[in-house]
Amino acid sequence: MSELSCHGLRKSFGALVVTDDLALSVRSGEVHALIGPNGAGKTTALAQLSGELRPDSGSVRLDGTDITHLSLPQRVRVGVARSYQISSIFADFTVAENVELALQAVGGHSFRFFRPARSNAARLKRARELLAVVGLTDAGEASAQRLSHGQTRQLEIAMALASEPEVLLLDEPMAGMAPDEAHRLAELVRSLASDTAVLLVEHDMDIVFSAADRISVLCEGSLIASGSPDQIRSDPEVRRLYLREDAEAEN
Amino acid sequence: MLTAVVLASLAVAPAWVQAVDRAYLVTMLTRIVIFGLAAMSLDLVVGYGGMVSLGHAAFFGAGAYTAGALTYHSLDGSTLLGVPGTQQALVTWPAAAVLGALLGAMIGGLCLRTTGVYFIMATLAFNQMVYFLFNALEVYGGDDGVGLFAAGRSIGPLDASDDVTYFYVCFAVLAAFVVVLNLMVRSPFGRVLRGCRDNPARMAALGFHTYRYRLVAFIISASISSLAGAMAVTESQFLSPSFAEWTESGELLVMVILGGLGSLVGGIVGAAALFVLEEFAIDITDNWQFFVGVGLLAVVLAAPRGLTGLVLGRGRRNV
Amino acid sequence: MHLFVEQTLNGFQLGFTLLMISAGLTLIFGIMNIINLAHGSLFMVGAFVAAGVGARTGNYAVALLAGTAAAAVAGLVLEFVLIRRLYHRDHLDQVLATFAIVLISNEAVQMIWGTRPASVSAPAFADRTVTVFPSLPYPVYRLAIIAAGIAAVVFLHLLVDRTRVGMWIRAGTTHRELLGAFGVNVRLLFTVVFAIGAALAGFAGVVAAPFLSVESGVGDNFLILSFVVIVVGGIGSLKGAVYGSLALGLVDTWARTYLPDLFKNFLDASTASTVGASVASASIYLVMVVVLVMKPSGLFGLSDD
Repeated sequence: MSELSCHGLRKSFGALVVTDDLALSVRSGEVHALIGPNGAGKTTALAQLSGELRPDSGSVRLDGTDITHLSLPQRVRVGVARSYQISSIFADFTVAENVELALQAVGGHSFRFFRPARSNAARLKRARELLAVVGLTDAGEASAQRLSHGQTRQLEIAMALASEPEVLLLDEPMAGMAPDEAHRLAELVRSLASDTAVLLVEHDMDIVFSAADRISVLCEGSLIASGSPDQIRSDPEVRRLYLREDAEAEN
Repeated sequence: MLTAVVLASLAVAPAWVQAVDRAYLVTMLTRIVIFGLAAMSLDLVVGYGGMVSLGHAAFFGAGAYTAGALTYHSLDGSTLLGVPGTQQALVTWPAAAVLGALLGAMIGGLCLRTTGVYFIMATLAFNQMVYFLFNALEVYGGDDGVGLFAAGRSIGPLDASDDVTYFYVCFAVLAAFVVVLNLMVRSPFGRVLRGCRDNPARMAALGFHTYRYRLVAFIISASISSLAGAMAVTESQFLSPSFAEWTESGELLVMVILGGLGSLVGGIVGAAALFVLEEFAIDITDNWQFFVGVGLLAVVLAAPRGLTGLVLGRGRRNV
Repeated sequence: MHLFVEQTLNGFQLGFTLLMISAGLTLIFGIMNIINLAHGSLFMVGAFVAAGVGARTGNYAVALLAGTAAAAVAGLVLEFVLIRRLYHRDHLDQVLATFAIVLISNEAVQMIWGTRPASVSAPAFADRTVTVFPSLPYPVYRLAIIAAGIAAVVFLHLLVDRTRVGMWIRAGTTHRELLGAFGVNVRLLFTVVFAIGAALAGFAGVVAAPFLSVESGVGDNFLILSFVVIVVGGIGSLKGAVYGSLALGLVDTWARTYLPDLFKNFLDASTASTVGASVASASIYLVMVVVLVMKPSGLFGLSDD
């Protein structure tokens, strides 16, 4: 049982407040979706949870331990991993090598200079297992740049899983996917949540409402609602926010 | 495969130049080997690590000054900071490699706090600092440098005063490092280094401390460049700040690019191309580097994968 | 006290010379994202053309105009023929291509003017001195350089902060992709900025020439010094270039004046002068070290986080 939480998180760039007194938590066993209109500060919030951005004030805790001061690589080591909105894989490596590299990151140091990188049988085996988890069993030896968009997103998740994270931060993993692909990936995310805490930033409301256990709504940097999908669906402020957005979209 | 061909050609080259009555070219071959070693070590940093160092002549020069100073004090009978000098390459060369590693740790440690164009400028600036420090060393002739012609070339029990013998000593060192560096770029370390080149942000998100891996690669490269500098001063028997001139850094980079970035052996090919060009062009004009410039422009604009890329039709350019 | 005032003025003179080079370099980098090693060659073009024209006409003003104009034209040609092909290349390609220009121009200068150093003499009026401080005569020419440097700062400030071109430059430095959207003729803007930078470098080459032996590669050290300025001041920041240049000019001059004496307090005279001179020659790089440790993005650069 693990829990990532933040309290009083604040971040501003100049006069622009992008995160305003944010409190959130995500526990293992649940998919917690973070939604909100464009520019609401979802990605910035995720970056502060993952350690890429330092908040101006506030704290981030993992199982009660303050990890605010830990850098991105250090947080990976204590169990917080993330994936990116824009695919961020190593295109010149094979698919399996991408996962092996991710495994190297957490399997002790890589100051090993003389043995071929591919000679570690245990690592190769683990890489294949992870590829099987995300449904890329047969793609291992292909060059990563030959993957389809959807497969690339699957590879991203396999790489994030390499560190055996307790908390997984997924930034729009389904972006740009065909609906059936997206739903399969949503099922995968659901299944991961059985022993991992998953924070999901996502635009597709169908997926959010079917896959998430809890939903938090962010607007202009601060939280306006948090609760079960049913609660969020009936929340008047959320309705107003999304109706306004729809109206703006129509104009 | 190309690596084997290049090494084999170099191995028989002294016999060939002697057969065609051009024995004086053996020293040129030795310089190809020495600068090829330095260029290859630079390729580790630039081609595999994505760190565009424009300051490697600082390390080359530091190696030359380490070995040169020890030799100078041995000839002079004086001491260097209380240590007697020596002409024994088994002492001067490792000393140069160690000092190069230390200097690499300092310069790399600072410059790697920056990236991109800052990194290029900072490495070049430190190169110039080291160059001016050597210029200020009046004991070794200041900016004129100092001749060490009375020195022999002892490598252990071996007397390598003869140019052909010395060539093969340098060749053996080069061959050893070709093997070591090729293993290195295929090792777990090499994979991480390439990852840092392709996508440093993602590497950090995977949990890598990219700074440490880059720094270690930088130190290894600086150390090998410094060793090459020591070999160069033992060859020329003349110590001067010109070893550390910033244009030398540029020329090492030119060798890497000319030969093909990220191929290791390209550094040797590039060094050979440059020295052979010099050999022929210098009879026509003193300003032969004009043509190096023109050729370099052509390569950058038209054949960005270098000479080996032209021959093999492959090679990588994504730094 | 006299020594201090004199050396401080000398420091400002070096600082303002550096400023004229680094301001152009940093503007070019800021807006075009290009690293240009050939900027020192433009300095050299200014110095050489001024030496040639000065020797023929004996008129410093004509030499100054000719040197500056020649560098501007060389910059225009360089931008048109090469640099604009490099905007979308990586920094390594930019380094190599502009290094090729350094090799070509250093050799070309030798082919045209020979290997014997040329010289530029300061204008006749400037041979005089004025008393800047009780009983301290100071050369008018050096004061003129300081004045020219101040004029350059004012010019650049007005250009960047008060004109339409300046607005584009500022917009381009922070949001390069927006320029096209504003309907700006990006190509023309880049060419103009490059030519302004080149003219400044050439101008610096002419005014500094009387203190230098004008020979092949004379601009290279100034190029590297202005890189130090940019690392210290922050890339793309005019303010950084101004403060960085002046600070480094002063540090370098003061260190060369005072360090050898300072070391005499704990070392014997000959060691002190050697060590002092070495440390003094490294002083500006030590400033750079401090900045790299404290603020790697430069004093006035955009912060990393």
